[in-house]
Amino acid sequence: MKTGWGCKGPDVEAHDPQFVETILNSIADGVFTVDREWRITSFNRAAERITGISAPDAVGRRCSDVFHADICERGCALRQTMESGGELVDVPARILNNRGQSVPISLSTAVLLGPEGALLGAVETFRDLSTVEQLRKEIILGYTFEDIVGRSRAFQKIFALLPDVAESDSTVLLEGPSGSGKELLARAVHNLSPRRSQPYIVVNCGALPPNLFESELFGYTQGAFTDAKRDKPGRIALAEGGTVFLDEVSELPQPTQVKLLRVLQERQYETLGGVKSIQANVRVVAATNQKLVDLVSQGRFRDDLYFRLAVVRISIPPLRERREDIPFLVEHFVHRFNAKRGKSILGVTPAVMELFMRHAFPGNVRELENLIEYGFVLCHDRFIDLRHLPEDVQSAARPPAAPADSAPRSRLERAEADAIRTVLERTGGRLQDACRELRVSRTTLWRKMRRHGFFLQDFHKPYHS
Amino acid sequence: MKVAVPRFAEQVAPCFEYSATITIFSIRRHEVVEQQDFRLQSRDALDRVRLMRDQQVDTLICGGLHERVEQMLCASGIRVISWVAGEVDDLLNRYIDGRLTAGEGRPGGRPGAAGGEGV
Repeated sequence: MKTGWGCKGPDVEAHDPQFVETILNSIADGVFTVDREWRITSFNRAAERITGISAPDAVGRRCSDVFHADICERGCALRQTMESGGELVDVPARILNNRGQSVPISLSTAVLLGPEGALLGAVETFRDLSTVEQLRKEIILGYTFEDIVGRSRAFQKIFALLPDVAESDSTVLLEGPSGSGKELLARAVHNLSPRRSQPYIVVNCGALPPNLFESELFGYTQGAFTDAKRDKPGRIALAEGGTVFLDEVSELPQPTQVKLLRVLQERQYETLGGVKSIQANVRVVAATNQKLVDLVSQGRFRDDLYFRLAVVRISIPPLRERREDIPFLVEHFVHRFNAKRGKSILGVTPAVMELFMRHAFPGNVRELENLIEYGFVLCHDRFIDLRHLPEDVQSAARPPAAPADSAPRSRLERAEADAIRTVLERTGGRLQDACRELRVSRTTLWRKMRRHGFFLQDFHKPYHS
Repeated sequence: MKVAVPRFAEQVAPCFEYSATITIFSIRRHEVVEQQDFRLQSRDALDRVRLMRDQQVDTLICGGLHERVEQMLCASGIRVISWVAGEVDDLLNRYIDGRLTAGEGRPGGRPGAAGGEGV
């Protein structure tokens, strides 16, 4: 097959297949050729990298069975090129790589002609735009379900709910500890909903002073108070037609809870100093790192507002309760930081992964993300190792000191260790409660914990679920 | 039992999310007793998941499939036989005979961590 690469070098090299192959494999863009039956005849190294499919596995297959692209059915670029004989340049498309991940590409096509001008097939070059898309996503916060990482049972439940939650207009309450990904999920709910083209407004209820809350959320009219020189729309008005995300909703002051209840019940509110009721067309997604139902029982949160908010309640468990998600999260963050920092780190070493699988992660997914980011700063190798992590985290990886008594442990000792572990788990690592339950002094418990190699941090529960 | 197959002419479509037609077959006593084509304009993956659920599909046989969409389908109790290739009739017959294996159309076989078959 005459490939027509346009090489004008010495004759012997220009038509040497190995010479051409070397050139193709040195290109950063994916390149492959097909015959007239759409079967792949060559596949360069970059194509292997982008698709995750080796050349021997790809060659001989129909290109649609390798690329699974969005244009295969509705506008195949190779077909157009072969039918028209013309070139196509910079056509945007999406393919699925061998792991079922969507890869945005930009492709160009040209025909391959034989010596007599007969059509032999076509060639396609394609560029991986994942990095560009990742950065764009970071800037516009365009997260979708693709960005929700989790294979644990808890996330299976969320995935089962998501199609219905996204389609409906119901209020959603997201419960989970700090750093568990509530805001990302809230954004995904908005970006998947029919309101996706409308505004998404975030209100951090914990960051607003109580006296400003009402004016921030509902706005004010001129003259409502001394400095109200002109009308100012509130966040509800700014989110008109879209979604308002109330983060840390448990911090809402009581008077504002009443007004928010009215928004949810009657879709109406009044601005501060205003006399007219305003219609509100917003979807409310709220999040809390506390158990709202507990606050209701303590009288700190209105029960009627709680029931209005919790139409759809989604609980995100702490990371330590879904450790099976950690390897997938690590892969996700490595991919993301490679894009952000222009690096090519492949992952973490087994020692780091083992550490992550044992770590308590009081800061949840955000802590894991920060650890990976820290590793990216220090790592100049292909894999992030223990030495690339903060010192306090590294020290947790060191094996605990050998028990003073290294003789084989008796059944009694094992029973003691089991009892201590159970109580520490139940009390979330609260030493005082554990001492009370075990009926031992703090000193005794410390001594026994050291003897059995227990660390308090492994039992901490910042989120009491 | 209902089996859905996204199709591109006589072949299984390259990708579930991008296919224009999904055929849902009703199978009784190892035979297809009814089939219905759904022509899809929306490219929203969640619309397709909802279609599968609304039509009470038991099994989806498809080519490529985004890993999260597969998770959603499985979480909804739908059995997924993904990453297969070939003619729809042949795939369906092999499914009825219990000879269809997930991942058989994936170049180089299945990578360990992703996709395949699940419910």
